[in-house]
Amino acid sequence: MQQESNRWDCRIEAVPRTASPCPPGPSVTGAAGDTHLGNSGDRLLTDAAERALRAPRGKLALVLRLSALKPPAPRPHHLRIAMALLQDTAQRYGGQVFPHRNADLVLLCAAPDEDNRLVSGQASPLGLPGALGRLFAADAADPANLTTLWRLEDEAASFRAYLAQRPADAGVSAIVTNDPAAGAASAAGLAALDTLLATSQIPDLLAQQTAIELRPGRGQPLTARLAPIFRELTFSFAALTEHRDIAEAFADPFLLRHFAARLDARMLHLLQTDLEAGGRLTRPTLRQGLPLHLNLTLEGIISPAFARLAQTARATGARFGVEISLMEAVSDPPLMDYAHSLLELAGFPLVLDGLEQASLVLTHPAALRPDMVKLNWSPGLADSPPPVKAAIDAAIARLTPARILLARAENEDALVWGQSRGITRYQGFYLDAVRAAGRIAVCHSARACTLRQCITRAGTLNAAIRGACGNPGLLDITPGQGSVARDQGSGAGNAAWRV
Amino acid sequence: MRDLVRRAELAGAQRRAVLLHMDQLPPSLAKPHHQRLARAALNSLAQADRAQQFELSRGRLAIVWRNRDGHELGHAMAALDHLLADLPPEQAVAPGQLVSVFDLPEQSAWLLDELIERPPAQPDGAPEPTRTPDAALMARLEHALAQADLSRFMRWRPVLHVTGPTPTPAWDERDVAARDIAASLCPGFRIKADPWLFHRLTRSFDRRMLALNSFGHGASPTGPFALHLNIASILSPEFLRFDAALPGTLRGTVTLNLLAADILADPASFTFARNFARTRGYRLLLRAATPAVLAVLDLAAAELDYVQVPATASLQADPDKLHKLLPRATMAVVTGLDPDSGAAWARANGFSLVRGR
Repeated sequence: MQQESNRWDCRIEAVPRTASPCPPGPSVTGAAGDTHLGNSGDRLLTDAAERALRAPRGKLALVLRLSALKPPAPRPHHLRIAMALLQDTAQRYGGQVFPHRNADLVLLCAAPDEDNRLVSGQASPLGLPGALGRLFAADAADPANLTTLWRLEDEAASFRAYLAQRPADAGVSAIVTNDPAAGAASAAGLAALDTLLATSQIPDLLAQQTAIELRPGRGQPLTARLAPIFRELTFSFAALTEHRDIAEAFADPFLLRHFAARLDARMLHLLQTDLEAGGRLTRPTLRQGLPLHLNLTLEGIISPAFARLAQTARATGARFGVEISLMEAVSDPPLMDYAHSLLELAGFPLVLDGLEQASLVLTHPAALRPDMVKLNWSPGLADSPPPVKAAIDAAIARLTPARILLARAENEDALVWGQSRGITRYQGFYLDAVRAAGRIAVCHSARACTLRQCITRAGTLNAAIRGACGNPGLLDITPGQGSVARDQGSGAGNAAWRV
Repeated sequence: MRDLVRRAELAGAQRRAVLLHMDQLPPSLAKPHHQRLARAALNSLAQADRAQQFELSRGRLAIVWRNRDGHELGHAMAALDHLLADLPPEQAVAPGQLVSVFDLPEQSAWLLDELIERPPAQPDGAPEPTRTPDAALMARLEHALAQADLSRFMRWRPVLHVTGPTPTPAWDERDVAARDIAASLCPGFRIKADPWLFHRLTRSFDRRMLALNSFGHGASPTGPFALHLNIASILSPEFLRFDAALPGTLRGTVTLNLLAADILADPASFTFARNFARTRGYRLLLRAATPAVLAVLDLAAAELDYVQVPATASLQADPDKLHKLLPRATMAVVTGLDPDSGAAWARANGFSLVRGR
């Protein structure tokens, strides 16, 4: 699992969604009626298809390629709804639905004659390609290619070719129809989580990540173009999700926000005391002249603990920024207004967090007057159909690229797309890796270290994990343009580093 | 029911009415089969001369009939007495506490007063809830609600067309009274104190409401209606069952009411749920659409049919502010207006739908 997916930052989108195509888990139930799964399902399809092809007159076959949806789709609800729609048609047209283990669905049924086409309206198999294309418009990279409909009388060869090239079951994931977050939560599990959060050592749970500005410099190595702009403190999802109940609780956006609010007060208090004492949580970042960014709930911002931190920050000259998720910001507009005024009073910039492709085109985040907007990278930003792409570009133009930070930049594609849109600020695993590679190149103790170890140690405030580094003074550093000496140690000497 | 009472009043027609307060049933009798028994106890009244039966809010039942001097009432009360006889002493309840009897037209004002929707008062001496629920309590509530019959907690408020000279019904907004459910299941807790836990809990309400309003259930609607739902609930097996049972006559008339925070909690799921709801003929409404929310959510991109706008004093003073935020004024359902002058205000300012109280 990549590092970004191991984090939760009190934001719903930080929680890994159901992995694509679907995680292992309970299989499809018999609730959908004539539904068959897996190997036996495939055999049933083959048998049924052979029977249909022996008397193909008036028969249809349709495949819905849910496996071709963009990750994290197909999610359980995609399968559930698609299954219900196909079952509806199957019932009206004497057919059957066959799910493949990769989540593709095949419908075999009778073609509508003139009479029942009039009666059945939208359930007609002939209308399904259009209806399903519209339904999955936002989730399919190529909605037109999501379904194929064969009239078996004329297109038997083509349907046989499809059956022959269906991917084997081996190597594809099982499908589930139950969402982990949809059921009732376990009271004992949540009580245990409450206790865990109330008693955990907060620093052990804290992760950090440096956001960077990519300076112009065509032809220069990437490491020479990184200028850090702030460091974000978050709670580490990985540190808490060993317990199944906890993982399920954090997969639910509302429970996640509830627990985030509970942690706010403890974190704010911890940071205030650390700041007063010049402690290890805040000092390295602040000494580098970087602001620390905190993810807070609205409740957290209006709490006395926040007021005390703001006061201490003023007294010590420490700089902070506060990140608020978009869903939290619209959940209670008057409270958001009040929280924003407290941020302005404290001199903390407001970062609107958690924008993704779907919310980018649905909202006008500028109305909330943020100083910065974090847009989460996803491949869909680059490879959506033209109308969606146009909507994305229009939304970026409205916001202005200068106000956007591309978050979760997990690979080079993110940077390529971001730069093509004029975005210069980034945060994510790819930048963590580039920074770590730069550190390893100059570190005197890195001979036995892997890149992954260096990224992990730099991304946490857990003392034990950081303690495994032989040169911890380098961990918070962004190497740049060869301005560092190979044996640079920790402490005051770090001033020589480009930070 | 109100029309009938008013007509009786105007015509001086003598009628007798009983009101069965199902919401006053003691907890040990608040199970579906008890409710059926209580209704059955009043069955004899339904056979009375010119009897008419009405389902009211909070699971209450009203029966009005002509013969004021007959024995029907005595039989019904005896049957109810029998039902209540086995209660433990601490839950003892007299039939008179469950049933109110009105003689019309003399007592029509009292009966009309009973028909006004109002939040139930705290029982005498009951302390105001003060405790904040935690996640474990929320989980226990979820389990308690999994199979609960919430019919006695169901409320509905009319949404009215106000374009004509007199308001006409557009649809009924159906919801559950969360505070009353909390008072019954976890007295002493302020159920909405933690907004995110409460939001999570509304998914359990959704499931029960979908079951309750499914065609074939006793309380299933007969005309256009709206349900408050989470996006996750629209994509749930319970909704698929509700959808499968929806009669053809109601398809295209049902509105699903959503919250902005829920839409933005998982916008990809919202987009899919919206497309699915459209495929099946549902209309979508944005709840609590204050100007601040309308400024952030792009209504055209979200492709919503209606927005429910609370008529704050500032909006009533400056309706243009709202007009500027709406693609078209006809999509607004204005709430919180004065019951007497609200319709006229809405009409005069170009709005066509208001929600009654």
